[in-house]
Amino acid sequence: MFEQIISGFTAFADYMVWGALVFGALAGYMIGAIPGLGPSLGVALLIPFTYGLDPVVSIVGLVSLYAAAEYGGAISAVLINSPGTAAAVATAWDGYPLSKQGRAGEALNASILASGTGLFVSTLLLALTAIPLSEFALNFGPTEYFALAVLGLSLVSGLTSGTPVKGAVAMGIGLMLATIGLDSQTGVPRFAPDPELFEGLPLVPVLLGLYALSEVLFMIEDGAAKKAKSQPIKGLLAVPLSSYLKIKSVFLRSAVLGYAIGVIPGAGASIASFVSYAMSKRVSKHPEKFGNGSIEGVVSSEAANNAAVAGAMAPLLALGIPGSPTTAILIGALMVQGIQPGPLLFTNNPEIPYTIFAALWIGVPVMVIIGLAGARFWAKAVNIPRPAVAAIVSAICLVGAYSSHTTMFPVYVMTVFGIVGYLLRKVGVPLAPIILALVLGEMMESNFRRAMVISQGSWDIFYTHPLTMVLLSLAVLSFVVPLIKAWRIRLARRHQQQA
Amino acid sequence: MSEEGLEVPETAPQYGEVQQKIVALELLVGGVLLVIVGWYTYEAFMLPAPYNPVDVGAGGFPLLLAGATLITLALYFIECIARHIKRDTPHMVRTQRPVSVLFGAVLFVLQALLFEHIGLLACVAIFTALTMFVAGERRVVHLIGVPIATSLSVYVVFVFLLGVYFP
Repeated sequence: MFEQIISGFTAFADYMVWGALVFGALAGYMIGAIPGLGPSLGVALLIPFTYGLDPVVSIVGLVSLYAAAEYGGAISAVLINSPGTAAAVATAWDGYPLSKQGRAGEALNASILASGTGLFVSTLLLALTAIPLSEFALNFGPTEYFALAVLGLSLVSGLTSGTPVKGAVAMGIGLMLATIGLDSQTGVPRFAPDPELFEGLPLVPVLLGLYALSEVLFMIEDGAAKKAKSQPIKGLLAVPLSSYLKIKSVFLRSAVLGYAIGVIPGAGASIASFVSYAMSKRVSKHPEKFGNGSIEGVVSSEAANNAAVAGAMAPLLALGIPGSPTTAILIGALMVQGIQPGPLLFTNNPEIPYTIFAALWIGVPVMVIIGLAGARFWAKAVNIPRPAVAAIVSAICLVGAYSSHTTMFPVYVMTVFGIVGYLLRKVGVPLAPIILALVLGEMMESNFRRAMVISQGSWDIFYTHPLTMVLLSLAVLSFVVPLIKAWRIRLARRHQQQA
Repeated sequence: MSEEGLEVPETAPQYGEVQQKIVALELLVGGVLLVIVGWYTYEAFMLPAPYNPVDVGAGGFPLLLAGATLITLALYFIECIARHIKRDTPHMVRTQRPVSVLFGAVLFVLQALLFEHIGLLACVAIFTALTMFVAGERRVVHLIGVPIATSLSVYVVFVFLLGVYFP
């Protein structure tokens, strides 16, 4: 394993790989800093730029953008109390009070170093866990793969939405969309009135429509916002390291916790940061400082949300199951390059996972330097006029969709999904399960049909394999538990009202 | 990008804002989805039977999906109505600047339809300016400068660097 990890670093002998890393980090900081944009939208927008690139170069750029965008959200959280990403909400609770106390530089410094530590530690954990997990997954048969896909989808649908039922509806829509096109086993056209649909829905235009173009409509709705008043940045580089050494356990604990939560499909960076923040507050010697400007609070949130980036990579690389919308988009980017993530990735395309490990490690000092050196610039990115951002995103969507097949069909698909995505978000139907289902649909169907052929058409095969049973039971629980939880909360509220 | 529900309790609408009961929108979206799933189920039924008797065939998996999605849609409708009945105050979906949003959607459709006819540079420049205008930008320098810079950047990156052929 050690030799293969070293081989991942050799990819950086190519200047293009360095260029992709630095460009991804710069773009990620910018996108993360602008409230409303985020890693999913950023990665989706970058895909069109990677069509003609080497797969290693493109994946380094995308992963670098993902990690940097997750950090970039902290900048606007600290300076204007407007988190750039959902994962930076907990950062704002202490980051902004610190800014108001004239300690914005200290807060930004702590958040950058915490992000770096989170990413470094979690990548180590990723390397230690993803490889054995992929080796274990090599023993999986079609029923286990089918059950794994069902579990991944169920967790994402159950955890990411306010109501599990809407998540399930989104999952159903995504899976139905995945069946459009020629049947892979019989060659029969399905749900494809036009021959352009025979190859299925083009993934990148769907991603661009759902995640980027729908966001443009939300930006139009917001209109030209007033300039946010940013707090002055003082003392960015004047933070004694000794103060960090006193809270080194917060750095480490948050990174490990963030990684563990990131591995769970659907949990993601925002849940990781909230759980880590709550835990740090519980065990802190100064819990009263939390919410009023605690460096520990900033560190716990930022270390955890960046560690979740590597955590979300574990199921993606080892099992081919994306655990978050951003990793689902990353799978789409890999598939565009002809690479299929999953247990065989470490055997068939070892350069991809090992270069990702190397990129995440090398990305740590690069991102810390870019973050510290460019803090004042990123702070200004917060105030880029929203109409200009909306128009540029719309233009990239148009050009990116056309470039994916150099025909007009993907542009029409992107436009339709942009408007549909806006409407679905308006009624609270989450988009993440749609994307995940679209990505996993084919794998799910092919394994389901393979299992049925093996069992001579008997359904017994799904409940006679112990691992399949466990995975399917967990999938059912992922819907039932949130429903029971919501019902109990409603009951408790009713009791309170009666009392 | 936030994905949590955008619903809020009913309050007086602000200037230029439209409020709609969430249950009405939910039922409308659910109704449209029901029609789509109905068509999908019919199409799945119409798919040819499998050649291999132990295979579920081209329509087997889609039929399973359709069944499961119909069940979830039924739950969705029950939940929507139950939530609506139980709440004392109706929850609303707010849309600020609805006319601008509508114009924005129309712009998307127009740019998709006209892209092939007016070409990359003109299409990106014109629709960037229009999107900015619809999004509330009124500064002339921005309305001229950003579209020119965007179309030139897109041209340099995609045509020169990535070698994509555009209309």
